[in-house]
Amino acid sequence: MSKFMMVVAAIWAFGLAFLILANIIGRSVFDSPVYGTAEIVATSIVIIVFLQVGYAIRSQSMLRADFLIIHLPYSIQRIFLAIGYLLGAIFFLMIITGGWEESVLSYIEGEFEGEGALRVPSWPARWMVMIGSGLALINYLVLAYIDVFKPKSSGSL
Amino acid sequence: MLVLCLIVLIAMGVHIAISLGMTSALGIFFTTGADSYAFETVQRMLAATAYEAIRSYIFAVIPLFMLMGEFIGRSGVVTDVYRGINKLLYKIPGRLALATIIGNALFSFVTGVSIASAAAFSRIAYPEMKRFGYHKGFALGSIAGSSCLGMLIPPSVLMIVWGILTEQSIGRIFAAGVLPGALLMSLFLIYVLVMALLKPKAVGEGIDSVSKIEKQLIKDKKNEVSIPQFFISLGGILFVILAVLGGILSGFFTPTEGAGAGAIIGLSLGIIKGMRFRDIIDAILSVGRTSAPILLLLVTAALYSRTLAMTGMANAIEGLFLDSGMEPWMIIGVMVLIWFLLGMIIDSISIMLLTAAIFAPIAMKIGYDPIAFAIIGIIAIEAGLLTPPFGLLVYTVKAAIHGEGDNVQVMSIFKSSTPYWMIMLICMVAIIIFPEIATFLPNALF
Amino acid sequence: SSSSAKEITIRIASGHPPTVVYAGLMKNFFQPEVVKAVKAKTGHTVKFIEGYSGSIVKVFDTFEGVQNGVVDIGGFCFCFEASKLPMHAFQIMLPFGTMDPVQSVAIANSVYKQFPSLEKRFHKYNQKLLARVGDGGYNLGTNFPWKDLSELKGRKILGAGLNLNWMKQAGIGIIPVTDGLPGWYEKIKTGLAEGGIMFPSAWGKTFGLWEVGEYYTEIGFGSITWHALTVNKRFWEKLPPEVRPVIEEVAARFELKTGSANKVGYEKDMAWLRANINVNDLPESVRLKWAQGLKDWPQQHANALEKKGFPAKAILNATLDAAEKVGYKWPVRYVVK
Ligand code: NA
Ligand code: NA
Repeated sequence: MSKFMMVVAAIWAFGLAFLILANIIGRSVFDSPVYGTAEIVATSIVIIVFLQVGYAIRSQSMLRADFLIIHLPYSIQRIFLAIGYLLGAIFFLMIITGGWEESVLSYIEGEFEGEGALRVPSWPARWMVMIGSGLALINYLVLAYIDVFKPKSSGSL
Repeated sequence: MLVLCLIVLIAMGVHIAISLGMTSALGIFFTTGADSYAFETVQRMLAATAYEAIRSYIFAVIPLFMLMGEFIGRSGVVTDVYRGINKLLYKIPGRLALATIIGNALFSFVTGVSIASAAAFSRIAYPEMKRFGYHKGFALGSIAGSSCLGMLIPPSVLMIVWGILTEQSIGRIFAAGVLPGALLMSLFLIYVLVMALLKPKAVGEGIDSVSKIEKQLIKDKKNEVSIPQFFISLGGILFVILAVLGGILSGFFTPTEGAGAGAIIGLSLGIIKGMRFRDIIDAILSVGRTSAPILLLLVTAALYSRTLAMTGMANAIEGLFLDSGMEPWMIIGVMVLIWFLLGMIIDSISIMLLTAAIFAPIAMKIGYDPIAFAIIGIIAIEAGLLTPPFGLLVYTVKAAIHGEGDNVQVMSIFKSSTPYWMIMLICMVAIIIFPEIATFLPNALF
Repeated sequence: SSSSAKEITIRIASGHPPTVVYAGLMKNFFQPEVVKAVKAKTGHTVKFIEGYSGSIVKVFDTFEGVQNGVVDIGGFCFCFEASKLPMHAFQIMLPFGTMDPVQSVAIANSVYKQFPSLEKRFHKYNQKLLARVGDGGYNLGTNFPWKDLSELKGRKILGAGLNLNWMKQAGIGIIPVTDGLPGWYEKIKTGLAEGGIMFPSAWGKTFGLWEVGEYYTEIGFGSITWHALTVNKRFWEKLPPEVRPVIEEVAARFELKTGSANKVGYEKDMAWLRANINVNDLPESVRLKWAQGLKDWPQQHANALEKKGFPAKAILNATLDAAEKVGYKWPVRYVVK
């Protein structure tokens, strides 16, 4: 699931390159830019990042510093790691609890970003933040579980 | 207090994004009254920042420039160019190391991350240098050292992040990096030449081995690049540089547009050079894996810098520097020292996120040009990639040659990288004294 | 009350730097006046934590920042809240209004009084309106000279938010371009844009756009009151009751001050532009022609808002009337039915 979302996001990001190119060509050759390119790209970036966050966590791509803990006993390392993962889970949980209301409202009330060039509805990005955070939360919990109980196991989510 | 909490979390090995995020959450909680309502404010602010912080056109520049570099890096263009330069330098001592540096500088104009340079040149240049009897540490040192150019020559993820954090024009910072990058490259080349002349052993006996080289070259023709291939590849890279950077620096493009166009040109170049569908997908996925954590870090960094302002910490730190009675050059010195120290423990982008928003306004208040300061900061932070124990480039090089069956000690690579580190230091001091090295080009262009 | 004197901490913020007129007034007028007045009238002391230039909240999320309690008092532009505060841009919907910021503030004040829903709207987002903020009048800066609307055909002109419609709907053939104000300089310098709709202070020293666009035409789109100062509702209710009217009184003076300061500033900035670049004075007929091109747009926009349940027609008519009451004569008297 996380991996699938990552693939979608990566290809989406690639697609933005074509949109931007179309805008440049439209603007400079035909004097008619692709209206709303900036708004679409801006919204896309939010969606892309939160599509990818679950996989980034799961694949251990998140940046961290291990200069100190590698010198500690293995059991303590694992406890620290687990604490870190739990903090990660709490962090994303708070994003969800703090944002779900606005996300629902943005859909009901038809909230949008941009005016004049192109109105981009804001609910898809807001919902993606919620879904992505949900996956991040689950992935952090799984990592914490693995670290505390099953040091060498792995699964896929 | 907040800074202490952050340091403890980072030292515990907690993901840096989470360390920043949870420290901010704590900070917001206490400044807004530490009650249940404050807890609600925390959650709302986290959610709002997650949505707002990167919802901007400019952030697309990061994955798109990474895509461009990835396509070009995987296309084989770099190998061609490296081999071609090699051939041109025929009879010059240390030519393989020199070609590594020049090739890396050229590749730097199309890649935004140094790790990409280090990985590419470990694969391309190291086997050759080994074959010709180079000292392994010296060979790897030249790769790790010259890979620093990747982020000092535009395009550069570090420059982009700096521009975003300090609200400076990314185009101007790009322009500012060109001359210092050229200066660094020249100093690197001089260093290798001097070494080749003084210690021919380090470069496999250098000039004496010309006949040996000739024999080798005849023996493996397959490692040679044909002249048309070389010109396609060199022409391709030069075209990308001209179109993308030229477009940005001349103002025809915004950085985001340049990156978008660059990604497509990179793709085209890759296809011309025979990249298959599978390779293209691999490149896209690899960028997905590396760009998402950086963008997520930017979200939490935005949260952190807002928290510093909310709690009044930002003003307090600024006051600490400005009221300390230190001379401006001493203040810059302290900042550089902090960067070096942080460079030993965490990665460049995290360092930038932790410090740029605090340091840049201080530097401006004591009269430093913000663009020159950006370059100073980027060099200082980038130098951390070569220092133990966390020197990321050194580990990248080591990991990349793992398949070669070589077991080179990490410390040996660190040692060989030290001269490059010192050259960067010299270059940085030069910019502190003569900011024009950095500001000349952007002032002339914009 | 001095026996129970408290120290009140207020986090005040704006996405704009204090070099922008209203943010400067927040820092150099509103803050010290609140400190002084609260001390004098209640004995409490007030301490401000400042977050200007977007250090706590950016221009586009200040409104949410006040709503969430991240900042207590925030100054921001309605232009970034097109979706939450669509009706509050009523002066933008009537272009070529008064260029006098004092009049603009007075008109807005009168319309808000007639339509309490405008103030109530802020309650929905957990905040209370403290003061409206008037801006200097909008004109057109360009990097080319022009005398007639036909010369604007095919030109790329920058605008922001709703005022892009002043170009799009007028049928002149302008290509509207949009970007945040900090990006304008480079866009014009590099030819991605050839001009922009902006007030003289920003065209002059604040954002330095005159360096890349050396022609400024006093076309007079109007002075718009579409910034505001709001306070988090919960923070407001927790303040000692005797403090609230004091802050309200200062806020009312601040509101008037934004009008008068911008009026004085406008004259000064125009004088500066006249001394340093080419200021184009146009015959009234050109302004009239542009206004005629836009005569149907207020009705169209009002219809769209009415569909969403806003009393747009009544508000636009009240605005037209209020302007006439303060002595302004519309070049084209829009008809909204
Ligand atoms: Na580069
Ligand atoms: Na907003």
